[in-house]
Amino acid sequence: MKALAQLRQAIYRLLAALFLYPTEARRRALVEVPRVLEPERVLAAFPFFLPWERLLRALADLPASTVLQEEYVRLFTPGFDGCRCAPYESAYHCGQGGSASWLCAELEREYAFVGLALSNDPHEPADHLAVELEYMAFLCGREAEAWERGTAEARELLGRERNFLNRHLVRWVPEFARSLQDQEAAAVYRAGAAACEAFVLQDLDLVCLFSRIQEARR
Amino acid sequence: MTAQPAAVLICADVARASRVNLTAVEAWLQRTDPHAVVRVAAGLCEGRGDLESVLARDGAGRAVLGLCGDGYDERELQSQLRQAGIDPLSASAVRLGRWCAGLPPEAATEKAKVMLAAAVAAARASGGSTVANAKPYFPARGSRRSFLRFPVPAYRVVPSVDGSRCAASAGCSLCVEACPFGALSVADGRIELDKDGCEGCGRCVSACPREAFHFPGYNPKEVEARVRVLLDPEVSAIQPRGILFVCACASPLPFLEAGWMPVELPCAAMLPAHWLLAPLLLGAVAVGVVPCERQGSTGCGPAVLQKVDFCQALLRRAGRPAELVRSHPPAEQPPGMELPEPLPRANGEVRFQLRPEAVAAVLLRFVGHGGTSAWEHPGCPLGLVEINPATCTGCGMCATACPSEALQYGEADGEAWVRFDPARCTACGLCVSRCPEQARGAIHVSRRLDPESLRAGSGQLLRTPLRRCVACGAPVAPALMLNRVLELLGEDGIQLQRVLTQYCPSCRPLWGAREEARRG
Repeated sequence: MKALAQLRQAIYRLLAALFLYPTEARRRALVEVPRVLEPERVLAAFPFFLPWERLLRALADLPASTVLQEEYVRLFTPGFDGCRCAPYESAYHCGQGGSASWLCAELEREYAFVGLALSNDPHEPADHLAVELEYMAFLCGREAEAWERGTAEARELLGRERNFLNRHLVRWVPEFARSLQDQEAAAVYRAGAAACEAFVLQDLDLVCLFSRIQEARR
Repeated sequence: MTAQPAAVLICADVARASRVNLTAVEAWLQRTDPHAVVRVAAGLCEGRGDLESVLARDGAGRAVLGLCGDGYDERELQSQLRQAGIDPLSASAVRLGRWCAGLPPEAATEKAKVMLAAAVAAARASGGSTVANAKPYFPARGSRRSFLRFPVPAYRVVPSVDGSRCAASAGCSLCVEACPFGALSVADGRIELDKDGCEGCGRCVSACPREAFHFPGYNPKEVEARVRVLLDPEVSAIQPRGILFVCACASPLPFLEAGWMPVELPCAAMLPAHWLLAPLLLGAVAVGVVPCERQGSTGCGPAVLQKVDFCQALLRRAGRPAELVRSHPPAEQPPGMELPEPLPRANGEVRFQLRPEAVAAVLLRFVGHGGTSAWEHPGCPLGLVEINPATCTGCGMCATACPSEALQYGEADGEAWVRFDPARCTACGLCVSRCPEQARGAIHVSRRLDPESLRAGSGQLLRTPLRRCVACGAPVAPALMLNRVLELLGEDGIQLQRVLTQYCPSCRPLWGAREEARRG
């Protein structure tokens, strides 16, 4: 279970990096991903493998950072006519509060509960896709450590992951991915959004399954 | 149109489990379907097939698995297919070892050919699967992968909902009612599937008149493609042929004579009545169904028997032997051996779609042969709506609720009307439950097949003049509805009567202000 949590953490990290502004350093790290992960055939056991493979192919063929940066700005940053494919949860649903600020406040409370605060570099709002994915990566990392100590804490973390996926990522990432497929977007962003959607949906199923098994064992 | 490349992977142990000549099958498939990549792999069912090197990533997007037994190592095989670039959940598995066992070598080989060709057609008709169709579980059977660092689940296919087709936002919950496991619910006007609870029986799929569910392997297109090839006289010389729908939970499975072509379903209760009849128009001499023996709401026996009974009643009315469709037919005999010639083929006009229009088209092919009077049956997949003009107020709520648009409400030329198309009605009863005047019997629906009205098509059920606003001339409401409002208000509220019946909603506040001013 520890190894699986670590693997999930690595995938969340990678997906989060993909949807941050593509600096030269970030681009260099992303290009390395297919070389490092190609031999990891164990991922073929999961249904997100086919979209994941398409993402790896797109990463291996990543355009220059200036091209990528232009594309990032064109797609994900708000222009005078709004954002083409807003990578913000509040653009798709605002939760129970009904407003973007309420949703961001709720998310910040959630992050603060596990001792996290928003970073200034990069400075993104709490409902940005990369921030939510990073938070999931953090929870998976904590879960991996918890499995070494026993099952009670890990079980609680699984529940936290399940709630976060259910209440946030699963509710808007599919729509975000669809909006990106409709655009003439760079292959890496289209493949990235499709892989992100598949991974998030699959991860919720897995977390639910593991939670159920742990509950039954208890 | 070029056929999509498909990989046909046959377990070498099929030859041991039955007397199928695999070399002949492989050569025949390769010859008749140049776009199929056919491979016989040793140890396929045990996950020792090493499919990535067998297929060498030749671009086959779909796969057909010819299995030697009832089960296989799902985890390993799914993983290998993904590595070969193939979507494993839309792969079509054929239990050759099971269905060809006990047959003489020639018949077994011939049957294996037909079944594999049909599975290829079904796989090509598949729209593929998404993660939404994948439900993880841990199989009881061990895996070669169990030595891995972490637990690897296998995945089974479950239906997914296409929100753009779903009518849940209009109040439809037919799928929720059809699910025996309580896995579906309506939240915020959307259908939500709880994968934990879903057993993949597919009853929701056939309950939806808008075909809003996607169920890889069992979508109407896939089943139709499979059945058409299973009955195609050009594919095989086996005659006569019958179609046998088999519930995946049915046990023990019958021994099948060569002419019975099995179509496995996750649950026989998902079988719509017209799927039992359509094969008869495609060349089948008989159609059978083998439900499971499970008891209670999750068992499919009673639901299947009701549909079979409806089909038999329809056949009798059409002057045909009722035994053309049977539950538990004698599968050890050639299908329909005691029956006369099959019905004339009607290839182009037969569709397995779940939309009521497609159901009506199949049923009409049968009633065309004989009895034309309307008749009622609890298993009838179509219905008839009747409106009582004495109590109906013409509010149009029934049309808003109707998920298949059999009822339509409109306003034109100073009149409001309700039209009804019997070829679109599934007798779901949502119109009755939504009717505000249901207690007074304003609307009635019955599971009745009326060939005459089906042929006549859409007709008007109600027509009532629209009252117009005395201030702006815009429509206020149907006269029948306003009459009913007046009746309910009685002698009280003369002012209210006036405002409701004479002014449209936009002018009412204005009218109120004027009245106040006048009084003041």
